[in-house]
Amino acid sequence: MNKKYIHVLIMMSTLVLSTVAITSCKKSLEIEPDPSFGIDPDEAIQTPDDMQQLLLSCYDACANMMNGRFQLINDLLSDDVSRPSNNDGNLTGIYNRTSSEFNGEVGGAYSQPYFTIYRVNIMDRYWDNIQLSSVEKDRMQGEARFLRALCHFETVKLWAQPAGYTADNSHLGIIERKRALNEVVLRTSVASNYNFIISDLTEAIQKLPVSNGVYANQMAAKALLGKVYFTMGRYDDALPLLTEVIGAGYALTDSLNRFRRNETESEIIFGFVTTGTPYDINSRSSTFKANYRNDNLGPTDLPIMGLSRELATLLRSDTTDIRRNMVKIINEGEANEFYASTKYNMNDFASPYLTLTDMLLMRAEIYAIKENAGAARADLLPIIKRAYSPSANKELAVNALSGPALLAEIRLQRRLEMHLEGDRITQLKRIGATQPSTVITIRNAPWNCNGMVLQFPASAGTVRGFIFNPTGGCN
Amino acid sequence: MRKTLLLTIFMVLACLSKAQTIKGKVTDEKGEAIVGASIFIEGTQKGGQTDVNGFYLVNDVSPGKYKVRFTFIGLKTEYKAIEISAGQTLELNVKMIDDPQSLDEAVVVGYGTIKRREITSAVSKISNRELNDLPVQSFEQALQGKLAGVAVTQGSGLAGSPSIIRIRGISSISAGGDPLYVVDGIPITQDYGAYGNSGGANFNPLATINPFDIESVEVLKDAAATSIYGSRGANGVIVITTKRAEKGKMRVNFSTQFGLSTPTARPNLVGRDELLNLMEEAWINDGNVGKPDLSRFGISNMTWDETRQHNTDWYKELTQVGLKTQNDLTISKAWNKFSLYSSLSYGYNETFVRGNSFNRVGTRINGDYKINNKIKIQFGTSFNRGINNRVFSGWSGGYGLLMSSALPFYPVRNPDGSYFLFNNSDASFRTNPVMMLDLYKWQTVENRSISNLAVEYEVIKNLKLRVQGNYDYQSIGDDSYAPAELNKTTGSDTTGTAARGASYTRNYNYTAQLTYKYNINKYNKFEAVGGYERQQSLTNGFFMFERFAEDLIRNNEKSGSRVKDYGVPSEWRFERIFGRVNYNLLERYYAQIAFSYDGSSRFGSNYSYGFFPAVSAGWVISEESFLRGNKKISFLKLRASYGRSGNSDFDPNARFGFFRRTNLLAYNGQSILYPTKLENENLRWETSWTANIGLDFGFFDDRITGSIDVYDKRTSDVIMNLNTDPSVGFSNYFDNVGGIRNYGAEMVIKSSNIQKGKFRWTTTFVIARNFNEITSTGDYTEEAVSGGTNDTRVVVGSPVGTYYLVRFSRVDPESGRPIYLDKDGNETFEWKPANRVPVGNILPKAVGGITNTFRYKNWDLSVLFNFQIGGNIYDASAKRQLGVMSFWNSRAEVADRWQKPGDVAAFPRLTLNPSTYGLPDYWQYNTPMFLYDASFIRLRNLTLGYMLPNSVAKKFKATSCRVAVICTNLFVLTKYPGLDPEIARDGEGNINQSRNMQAQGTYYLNAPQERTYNIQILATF
Repeated sequence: MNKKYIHVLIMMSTLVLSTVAITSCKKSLEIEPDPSFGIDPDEAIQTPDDMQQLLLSCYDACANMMNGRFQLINDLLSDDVSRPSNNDGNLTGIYNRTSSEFNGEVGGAYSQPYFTIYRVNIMDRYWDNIQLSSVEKDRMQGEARFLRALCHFETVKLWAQPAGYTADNSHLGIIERKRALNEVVLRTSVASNYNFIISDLTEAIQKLPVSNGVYANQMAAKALLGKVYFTMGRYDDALPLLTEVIGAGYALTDSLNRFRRNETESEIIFGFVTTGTPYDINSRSSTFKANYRNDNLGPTDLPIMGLSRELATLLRSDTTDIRRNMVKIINEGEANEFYASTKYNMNDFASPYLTLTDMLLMRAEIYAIKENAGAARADLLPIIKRAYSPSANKELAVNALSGPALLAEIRLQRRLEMHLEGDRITQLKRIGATQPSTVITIRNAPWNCNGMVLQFPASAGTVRGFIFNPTGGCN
Repeated sequence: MRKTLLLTIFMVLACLSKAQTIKGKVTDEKGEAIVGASIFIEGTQKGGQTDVNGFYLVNDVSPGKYKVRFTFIGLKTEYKAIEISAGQTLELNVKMIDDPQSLDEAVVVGYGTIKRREITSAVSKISNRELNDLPVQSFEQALQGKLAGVAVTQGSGLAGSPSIIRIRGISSISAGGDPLYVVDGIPITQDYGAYGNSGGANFNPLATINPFDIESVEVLKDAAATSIYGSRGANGVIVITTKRAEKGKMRVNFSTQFGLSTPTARPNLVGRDELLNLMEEAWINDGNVGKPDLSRFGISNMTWDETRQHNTDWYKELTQVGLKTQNDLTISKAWNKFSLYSSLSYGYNETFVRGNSFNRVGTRINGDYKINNKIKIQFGTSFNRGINNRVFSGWSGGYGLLMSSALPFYPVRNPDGSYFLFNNSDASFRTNPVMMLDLYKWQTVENRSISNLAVEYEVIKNLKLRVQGNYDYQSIGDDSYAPAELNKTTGSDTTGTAARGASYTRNYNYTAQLTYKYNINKYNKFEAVGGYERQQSLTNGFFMFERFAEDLIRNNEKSGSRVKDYGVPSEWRFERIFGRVNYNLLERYYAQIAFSYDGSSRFGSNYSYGFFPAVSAGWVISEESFLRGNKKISFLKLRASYGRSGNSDFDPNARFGFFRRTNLLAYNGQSILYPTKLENENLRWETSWTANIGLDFGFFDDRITGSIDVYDKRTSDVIMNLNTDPSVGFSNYFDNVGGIRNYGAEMVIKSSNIQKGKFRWTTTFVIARNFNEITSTGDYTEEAVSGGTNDTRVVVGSPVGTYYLVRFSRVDPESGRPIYLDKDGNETFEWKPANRVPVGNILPKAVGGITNTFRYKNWDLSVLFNFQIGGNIYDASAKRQLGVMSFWNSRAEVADRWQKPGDVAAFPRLTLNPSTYGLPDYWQYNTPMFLYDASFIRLRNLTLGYMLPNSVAKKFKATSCRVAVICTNLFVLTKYPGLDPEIARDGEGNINQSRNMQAQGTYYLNAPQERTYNIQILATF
């Protein structure tokens, strides 16, 4: 063969062979992500500590959702707050009951509970692979179920009409996520949603320990389940649970303000803790502070959010009500008079989620509805004693109440006691849905108008078949 | 004695050798003198230039045989072999012929060059002269309007602003839509998101490539040209070749220019009194009485009565006439075995925004060393440093506030000298921009070095082995400092704060390549190229933040009050084998087969490698007997190609599912572990199959030349960064789900219109028409990918970047409220997202440019217009400037508004209440009311040049010297009422996606383009 062709052949062969040799080695293209930035899921979750840290991230995500954000959105729909002073389009959209697919605040909030839910579902993949004692496994599973239920519960309250809106709760609810998969799941009914929530909490009650530090314990799961039943209007189911929790040794704090740094407040059944760092990065109170705080502003500067005139008047109507001090009037007497709240004028504080105050007021209301006035008053009086000074007169007045008047007083005290905690709108909707004889209007809009339910973000419609909430009808 | 004799002989010879002269006249085909043609005697350092009468003279030529080269832009280079004897004066007259598209010109096509005549694919070329005929911050800006099918949309006039280049439309959504840039053999780092969109601007990765160092830019457009770049070539390839020394004497080129910068447009906002009238009107329209309460407008630190006390011209406060200078020096020299090219560059470019400038200093050295007849070494290295003194713009404030919340009744300062604060209701619009300019320090510094080393070995005749290694290093440091005075007023902190963000990218590749030429006989010729390439890139970086800072952070050390967080490294690897075989039959029929077999770490484990083949053919019809010698058709070639290419320009980490463990976000003081993204092991390249048919032509003895191409490019597996249903637990997910089709035609025509006497007029016209359509979004809806919050969406049957808005019908004459249309076309007062429909898109129907060049004696005048036909601009600023009244200023168009029942007006009644407009909030006022035709024609470049006569140039020891006045962006004709219709705004979120889906047409408070006036002196020694 011609020498020239031999040269060509040798060179070509060398090139081809070296190429084949290199490309056949698959590792030549492999990239190992730096473990400090990205860890493969199977490598990330191998030990009980890994599972515990994953569980803690569920608390973390849930705490970010309940750092005032969900509470504020709830209150914006209610009659407890003023129109946002900054005219912010997103907050004002919620306040006007016209939240749209593009409301950034609503969209951001909607994604938050599902962070927690996804993480809980991820944990489900690994129970069988991790060496855990049965006690530890039960504890973790119980906490995980508790948090998943909490997130679904908070979501269904905002993005669906309440339980009782239809007789069988067949109206559209939210998406239930039971698996950590990027799969198409569409909205199910509110009945289904609540069944899922109750199922999770039932399992949590079975598995959670009695005592669990600052984390969810058995009593927390019972308290939440009691609250879920109460919200649904299933008072008979709620009552024994609330009774059990109230009798579990919690005690009302001296202070009217449960929003303090100390996570071991005696009345907190479950809450999200704040632990300080030099950079204030894990404070669980940022949305509360950002919107309501006013002690760091100039004398005429307005915080973004304040109390509605109606609520401020109610709070200030009784001079013996200590809670009236939570109202700070800015620009008094002017056209732009503003009712700021001092409730969140603090640097950092924990965010309580289930409290004895709440339990007592729920049980009091159930008793009142069941016309057990004595029991109802007994639950209400500790709240009254703490709120009024001197309380004797108010106690006397409460002791004289019964029937509808007592029920009204309990609901009033609930509003005053838990104002700006995101509770008011849930109660109004519950009453509207479960007590048809009572006409509930919220800032001149019926409790069940379309806009009273938040719209889903546009990205939810990425999936074909997704049904958005109807809009309008509230203004 | 012998020594004396030898010395005498040498001296005589030396004297004789100085007596030889070559002289003559250079004319064109009509016999007219050519002024400024270059004459160069190869193998010597001798040369010259023709004078105003076309005469030249080269003295002191040693006796011997030479080849003399005559060059002039736009004319075919002529070579004349001569022999000159001792004492001879040789007269050599040369006639040069027009050759706007030289058929023998070498065109770089990736891993080799090919004569233009033999090209079977769609390739455009631009020379260094055309690149440097106007002052640009970055070389890609000079391509605008000059290449068919290459759409260049300049960023704003701000320093370091990147352009968007689209070759034959856009076939990507969330992957990069920009072409692949290859500099001297290395696909360079081109991350437009290197610093996110901080300050309302993206990063320009091309800004530190010195335009003056570029010899040529080749644009590869169809699959036959790009398939050799495999999975990276689908959006076209821009091959940049830097200068090397040419044989001959030492050459020194010096260019200096000085210029001024002004904006192309000034915001058309209302003045103080008119604004107050508008506010009052809105107040009354809403049923209020008395003086307007400014808090209802979101203004809480000023009363109505105080608004008449000040009248600030914020435009004047924030803008300036920017100064510019650019200086380049190159020195090149070639010896027998060694040649060297070196350059030094310094540019200082202020823009029209006060405090904003881009400065670049750089150097390059390219060398060639021929060890022997078989082995050759080539090397090159460059270092450039770009310093961007940055300002806030767009959404981030600064110039953006000028058009929004910087109201004329706000003072710059309070009576006590402190800065007045905009205490409005939105923190994004609260910072006094003058205070920010005065107090905030911000600088981004990029260091860039691109180097290569190649060894070429001729194994046997016609068989060459070339091994080349390349290294592209880029470091970006972004430093900022806010003093306590500023932080206290903005409420962000109580102390001075400083931040430093840094990223380092090490990108290197090597190739081993064999080239073999084989001529079976004189009619059948083959050339084959085959090789292997491997490339690897690693980007890592960190972010530092310091409280109690007193100045910029000067080092990378962590300290007590300084925290340092490392970003997620971005690493990728790539390897492939490639090949190309060219066949030439009878210098008339050409064929090419090319392929690339690519593997990348970006691809999921289920798709590690992909194959990208292409075939093409060319037929020079004019060489056929039936056309040969035809007086009208001087050249005609038909080309056709079909092939597959890919796009893999997406996040290298996209396929990974990540968890992260950190103490920084601990709960209850404990570490947490959490998932950060979903994995996708099926992620792979986008695939484009492209068919192309082209016709190259020359008529009337090549007085008119050009080419026409038609193409059809169908892309599948389009990568989308999907907006996942939030209930999944993540907001986004990369997947190959869609299809896009681009088809169209492009044309370039060059004509020599007049050649009479000393007057010449040539015209180059380029135009490209592209049709774009999304053919599939898989199982997803329009919401799967969005350009911005509520503007563009992916709509099957519509182009990429389709505006998806609720239609506006009219203003109700009775109530003054806007009336929208629902999906069925029925009128409604309520704006509902469910009524959104496609109403326009960002992509132009056609783009192009026309360049006219006039030469008379020593003068030349060049006029470049570039244009865009079609496409839309959505002015997202207008929904606030012409929408619900708030703490924003209003635009002058608001004069055409409803004021009383019966008014037929363009804009509705003024109001403070979004519900008056049927809106959930004032940000949602997205309707075609603010959608405009983006068509424009712009005088992009006007250059008047004068070539100094040789006699004058020689006084400066120069062989040539040209002085030019260059003006850019002198005017634009458009229907768009905003600042400037040419928009390439900052990208947000996924930068690539934003650049593809939105940046070209969605305007939001961005600064306009820059108009410059420059004087340039270019001298060769």
